[in-house]
Amino acid sequence: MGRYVLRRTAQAAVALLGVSIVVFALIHLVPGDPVRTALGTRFDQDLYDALIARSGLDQPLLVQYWNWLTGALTGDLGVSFRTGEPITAALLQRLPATALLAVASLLVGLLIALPAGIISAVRQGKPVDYAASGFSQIGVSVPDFWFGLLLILVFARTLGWLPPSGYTSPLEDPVEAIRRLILPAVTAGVVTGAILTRFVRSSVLEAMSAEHVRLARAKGMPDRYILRHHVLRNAWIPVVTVTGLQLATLLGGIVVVEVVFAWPGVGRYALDSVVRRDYPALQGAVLLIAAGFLLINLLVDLLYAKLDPRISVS
Amino acid sequence: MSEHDDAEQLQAPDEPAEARWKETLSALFANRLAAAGVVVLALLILSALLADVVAPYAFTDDDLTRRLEPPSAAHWFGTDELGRDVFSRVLFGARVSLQVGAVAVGISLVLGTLIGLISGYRGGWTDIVLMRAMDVLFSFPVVLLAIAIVAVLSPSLTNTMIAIGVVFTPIFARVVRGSVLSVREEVFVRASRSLGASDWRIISRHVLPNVAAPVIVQTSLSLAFAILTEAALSYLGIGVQPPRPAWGLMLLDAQGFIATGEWWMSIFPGLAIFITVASLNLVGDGLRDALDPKQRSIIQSRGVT
Amino acid sequence: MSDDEVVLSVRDLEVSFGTKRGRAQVVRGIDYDLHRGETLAIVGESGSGKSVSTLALTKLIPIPPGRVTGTAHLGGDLELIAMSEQELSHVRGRRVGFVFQDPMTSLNPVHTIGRQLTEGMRHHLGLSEGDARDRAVDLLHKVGIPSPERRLDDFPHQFSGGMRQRVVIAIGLSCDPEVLIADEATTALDVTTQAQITDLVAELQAELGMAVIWITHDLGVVAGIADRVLVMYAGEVVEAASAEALFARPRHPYTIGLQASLPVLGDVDRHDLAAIPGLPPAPTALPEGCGFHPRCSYRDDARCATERPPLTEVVEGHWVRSFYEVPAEDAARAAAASRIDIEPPDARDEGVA
Repeated sequence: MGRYVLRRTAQAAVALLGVSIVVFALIHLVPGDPVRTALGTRFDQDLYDALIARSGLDQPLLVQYWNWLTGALTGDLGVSFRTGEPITAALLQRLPATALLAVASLLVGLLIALPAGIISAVRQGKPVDYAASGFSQIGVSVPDFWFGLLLILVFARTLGWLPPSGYTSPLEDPVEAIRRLILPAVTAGVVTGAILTRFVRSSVLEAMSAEHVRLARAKGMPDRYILRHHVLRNAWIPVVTVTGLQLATLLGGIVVVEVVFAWPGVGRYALDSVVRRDYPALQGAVLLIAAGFLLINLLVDLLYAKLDPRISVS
Repeated sequence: MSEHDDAEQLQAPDEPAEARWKETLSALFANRLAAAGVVVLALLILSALLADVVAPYAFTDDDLTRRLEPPSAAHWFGTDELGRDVFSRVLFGARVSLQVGAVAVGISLVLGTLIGLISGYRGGWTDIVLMRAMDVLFSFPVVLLAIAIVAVLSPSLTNTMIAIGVVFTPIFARVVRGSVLSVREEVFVRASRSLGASDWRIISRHVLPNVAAPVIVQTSLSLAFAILTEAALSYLGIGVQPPRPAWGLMLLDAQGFIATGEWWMSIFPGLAIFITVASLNLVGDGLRDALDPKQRSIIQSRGVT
Repeated sequence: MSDDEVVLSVRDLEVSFGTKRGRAQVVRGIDYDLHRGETLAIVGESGSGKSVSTLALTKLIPIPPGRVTGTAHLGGDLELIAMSEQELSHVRGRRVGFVFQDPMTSLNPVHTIGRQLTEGMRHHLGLSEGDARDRAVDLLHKVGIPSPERRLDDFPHQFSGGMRQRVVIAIGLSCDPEVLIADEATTALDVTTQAQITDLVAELQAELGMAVIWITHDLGVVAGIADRVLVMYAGEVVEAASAEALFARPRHPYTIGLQASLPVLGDVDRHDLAAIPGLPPAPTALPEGCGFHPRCSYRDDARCATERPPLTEVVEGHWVRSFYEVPAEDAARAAAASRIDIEPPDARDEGVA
């Protein structure tokens, strides 16, 4: 087990290194002078010189990469071309909003997928099964931002039940925070739920067809007991894995939902940096999200090893 | 040369290719949902090709006297903030979406298949290096990597296609490599090799036909996802640029008018994306069921046991 | 060997499944009595209905599409076929134990074998966790698993195939069933382990007195352990007799063919291994007349293709479903009989590794 953790962690570290190279290379492929472009019409020679010096753009690429990497490892992602402010602070300020939305969306997704997937597997071929697969077919095909717009149209504009956009910190005003969280979380959650429903259904079906389930029936164990201890207990190992991967996917894809609902998260920060050609900021945001993505994947793998006795021993 | 003739005797233990495709197609059309998907797709492709003829207006035809009109006989899907016909723009939008989808997935298909073939067939260091590179690309969330690429290349139709093409390459590379690995050790391939068949001959006669099925399934599913990604990038303002009518772009415009009640601007382009993606998904699922013999035998045996 | 007490009495058992191509008649009316302490072997190819006929007794088949008719009296009092699911759950595992084919998949990989061994006892016998564990240790000891106290908390993947099958047998026996049904219980094992497992079951049977139904496609497995044998083909019993009688004088053309296809010890080349030509019929497309006639090499009666032969007692205790009686001097029959040199079960080596 210890060796597995070590090996898997090393793999993740290598992948992260690769990611950092790709991010860095991408940004530095930009032709022209990024600082000049970023400053645009607000060009100011003093600010320009300061930025060049602080970003180390006058140094060779390898040195720049090394400085950026060591900086990133110590939590310093450099300064924004736009504002001259430290990028790490800006990202940390936005991280809670993104994390809150991602986790809330995952919860919504699980609230849909667990009952829908389990019931449709147990009642395979019955109307409820068809309804669930119809739902997941719709869910995986609907563009999330359009679904968000529809929700705004119905629940905010027409019915007026919920605010159409914006973010309130749960620490300031929990009630308002939840009201504002509902629509974006449902938007991302329904899509996640659709993907997870399919997966839960197929893993429960697979677990149900196992020979040991037949033996458990032959032992005379009650149906509910079998479902709980011999089907769901086995099915939930892959489900946990995919749920974790979905959280990672949410983290990376949530930028679109953040834009729909004017949610001040990391994704929007990345997008704003694109529009403003603020490359160090984009670089930092992409690295942060990709690192989060890799970290979640790593944790999921380790959790999987812990849940499945066959792996933990070998 | 005679060695090649010997190799030819060692046929892959498959049914004749033609029969297999026929069977696949009939299995696909026996699946009513998949058949419906094929029909809808055909209609979409037709309307994209014939948009110039079918659409009542050009996508740039503006008429400021008829701004923001709700759906009517003259404008089935209403008009937008410049008085342009939403129905016509949705039709022309199909052209953009399908084009981006096809080209982007074409890029990943070619790149991914090449990388997967080389990696799986060569093995060793080539395999390790290529697959690590794919892993790194895979370590990025899809939309985020596309954003980063478009940001660097500057937003445009072409760059959107390139970005999506790059993002989807690792999936194809993995699928192809996996199939190659499983075929490579088959007896008939090893026998052909021992009889001196060239790599290219082995790849074209034995490996490619065997990786075709998973690649086809992956292609149709990736098309759906590519079109969704293009719509998202265009909606974010970093994909297709105006005045080209992309569905995502139309939704970006429409967002400002949700508050004021012009619902048709946001309903119809979104519905178009949804229908396109859903039919691609249905066809993809149908193909997977038809091509995967394991799945197929489950379906067939369901009636008999 | 066998007591007179009948523990399981099956009459007119029919099992069918609804399919797209009509009803599949998988079991077409079988009758038998199983006595206390007796070992009954049900032999047939896959698809002959041998497994389904026993799984159907406690409705371990999907219903619908399955349908079961007939009667099966357990212990003289309980009629199983008419029982509700609720009532049956008190029979399964408690009064009828099962051992399935593949020990690699019969156990749940995520639970310890202790858990899987005790859950039935706790459910059926209401034992406390501690009592169930004590009993589990006894059982593991009985089935020949070394240091059972320690192994109780191990997971299935920590056992070899043969050891796992011993655990599955322990599970099958855990609630003292009157009947143990072993469904191809040695098919997935290597030959040495096979012999160990059959010996183990015979030994436990002698000790505990339960009746055993041994389902297999392999006549060779049956030879050493069975008291009586039912040969099934296309959903019906084609021959029923004591093991000695059946192996010494097989009378149905199918049994003769089956027996002739057995490899003989020392016949390494298997040069005179005779296979029955053709395949068994699909349960949705059973032939007119005798179920076996399309593959039968005798077919020496006008009625074979038109009339279903009855199961007739040709000699006392020896039942055959055929219009044609294969003469004793028939070459194939003689050859078949010579394949198995049956020895009384008691004389077998009792050693368990």
